[in-house]
Amino acid sequence: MVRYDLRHLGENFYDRMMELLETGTKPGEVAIFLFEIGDFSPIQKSADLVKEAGHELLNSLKFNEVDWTIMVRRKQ
Amino acid sequence: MMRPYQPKKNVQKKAYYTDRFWVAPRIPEEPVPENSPYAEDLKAVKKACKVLNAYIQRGQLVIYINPEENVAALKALKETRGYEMLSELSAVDFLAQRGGFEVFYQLLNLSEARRLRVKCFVKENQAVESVNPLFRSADWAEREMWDLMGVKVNNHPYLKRLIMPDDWEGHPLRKDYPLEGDEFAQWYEVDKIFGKEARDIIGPENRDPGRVDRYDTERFARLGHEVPRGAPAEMADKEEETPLSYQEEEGVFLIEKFSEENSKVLDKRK
Amino acid sequence: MQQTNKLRPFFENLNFERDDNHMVINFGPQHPSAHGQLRLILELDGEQIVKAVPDIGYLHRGMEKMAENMIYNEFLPTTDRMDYIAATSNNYAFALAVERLLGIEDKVPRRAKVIRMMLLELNRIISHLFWLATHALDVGAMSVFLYCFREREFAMDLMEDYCGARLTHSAVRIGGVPLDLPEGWLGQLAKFVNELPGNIKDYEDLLTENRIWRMRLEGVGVIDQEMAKSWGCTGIMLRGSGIEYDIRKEEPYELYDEVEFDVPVTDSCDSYGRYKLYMEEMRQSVRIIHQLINMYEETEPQLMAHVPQYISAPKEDIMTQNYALMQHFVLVTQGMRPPVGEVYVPTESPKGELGFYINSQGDPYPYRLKVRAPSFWHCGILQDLLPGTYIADVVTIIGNTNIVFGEIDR
Repeated sequence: MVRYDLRHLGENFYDRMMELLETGTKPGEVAIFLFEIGDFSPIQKSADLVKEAGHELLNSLKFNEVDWTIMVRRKQ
Repeated sequence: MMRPYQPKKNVQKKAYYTDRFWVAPRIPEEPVPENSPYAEDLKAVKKACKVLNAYIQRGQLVIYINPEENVAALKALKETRGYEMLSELSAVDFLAQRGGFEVFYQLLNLSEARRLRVKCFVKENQAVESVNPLFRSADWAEREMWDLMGVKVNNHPYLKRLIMPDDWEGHPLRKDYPLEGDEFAQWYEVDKIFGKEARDIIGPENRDPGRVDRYDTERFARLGHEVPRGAPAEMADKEEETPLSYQEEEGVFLIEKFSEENSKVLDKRK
Repeated sequence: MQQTNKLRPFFENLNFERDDNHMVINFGPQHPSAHGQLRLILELDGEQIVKAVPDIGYLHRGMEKMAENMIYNEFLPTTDRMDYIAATSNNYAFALAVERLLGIEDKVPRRAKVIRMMLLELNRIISHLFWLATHALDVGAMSVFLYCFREREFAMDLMEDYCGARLTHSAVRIGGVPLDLPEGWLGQLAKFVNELPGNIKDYEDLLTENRIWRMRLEGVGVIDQEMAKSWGCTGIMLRGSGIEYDIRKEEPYELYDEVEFDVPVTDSCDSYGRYKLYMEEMRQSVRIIHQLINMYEETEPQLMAHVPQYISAPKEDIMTQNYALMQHFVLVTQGMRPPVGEVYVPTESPKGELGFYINSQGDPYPYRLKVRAPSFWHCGILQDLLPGTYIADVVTIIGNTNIVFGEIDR
């Protein structure tokens, strides 16, 4: 299980997240990402990105007023 | 009508919430098996004195005896059963529940690597006989027990406070002694150095290390806005800007400035 | 505005002028080789010590009192501050005591056990290197001090890579280990452990046959078997007097029964014999670590024990499953409630037998927690050991007994 904090990237964290999903995790491992909510669009966008990449979205929670966190299990 | 003052027997932290029907499980206390070495230990102690209760808990034999016979029991265990080392000796405070202490002696049999705990219940003002003649390690253990718990020990060679200062009042490890210390403890230094009357001048001890007081010029220097030490609070709005400047900025005679660029950072050791 | 008479209350000012020419001096709390805050009141007849009264309590923080006001997990970082030379051995001793109290010792996963033992043996090496450095410096060998601290830096870097801190490790949790080993850590550990025997040989070449070292250490601080047992000496102080008792061998915990190492013993009873034991024990620790590195590969990656009522689930379960989150919330805010009962668990710390006595009445806070610190009695024995020796030997004996005051005063 690995945790990545992408809040410092602000809006454009999508490619870094996908890159981490490819390199930073082992197959089948759970990764937890933390990113800023901004205008609430990243929530839906990150879920779609994960779905189309084939990984399994375990959970998607509001971390606090300004941050959102998602749990992704990488595909085998 | 004021509520009558209840003596606070236990001022330590208590559980904030307890389920009304919660019954705490107990660690199993197995009976002593017949032909085990523990059975012989028990027989030896039974010969020496009256055993109130004996069971095995988590692999160690626990024997309850009367406090008057603690020296007899320990002597029997040391001479006949080979328990040559007293690893631990201390007390547990049950003043609130049963009005006394549980003093325990943790013994170790070096040759057969076996441990045994002898326990006795001592009422509040009852004294315990010193075990020092048998085990010299009891000397310091009993001094610490007297110092922190307040369990009196008879004919101990040098019964004096071991950890707390010699003129300390009260026994800190008791349940009715608050964690922050009672009134005597909080004012101990001030009373000793400056006397009781200096208490309100000096003020209570600041136990919060993070507290910074904007107008306290005794303890804090306001860098960048210098105010003479001990200046009264109304000087606060008359601070003038005192810029911070270091002598190295325009260079110091003979000392070459360290430059980051042409220095090499070693990343591999050796 | 200090009233002068207030500063000299009667008991502090011991009677310094004695008629039969005995001088009373303070081997004061601030002394370069006092290894911390030891006030040794020595009554001297010339250079020879007639009476020694160690006065401790200068580093007393009331840890046992704090334990009664903290839940079990909260108290773990406090145990770092007991024997601050080898913090992980205190954490481990406390964690083992609580695990035996809960009865979940066998549920700790194998990988956590291997990591714990690696940390313990690494801490033993750090502690022994620190002991040799300060002891040699007290006796006068400056260069050994520098060499030892250089080796110790590499070991501290390994600890820092694993748990992020050099001094206050908190590297063990109740029920397992918080983190897995970072990549490359095992390689660095193997490199460090391969180089160490060579360095130990260097120190021995420097010291063992050194005339001054032998003169200062041989026949100094002689503790015979009877005195060692009576004073409750443990660890190397006991093995230096010919009694072979090592808790790792006699009452094996963790995986010490699956790892072969032998326990060095000598019956020379003096400081020189104990010095040799420390060096030999460092080699044994190196041997243990070699075997542990091989054992690490075939362990599956689980780190914490799976006991939901006492230990919260791993983070990925907490963030995804509702019950794990609720359980985690209760365990963190109110704390786990161990069964009613008491337990005394000894472990072999670098200084000696470090035992935790925990009496729990079922509340989240331990009802009584007594720490059996080995240095407490190794400092107490000074009372009987020092009369008859000379002042120069006091420094050697204090250095040799390897006492640490965070442990003594708690």
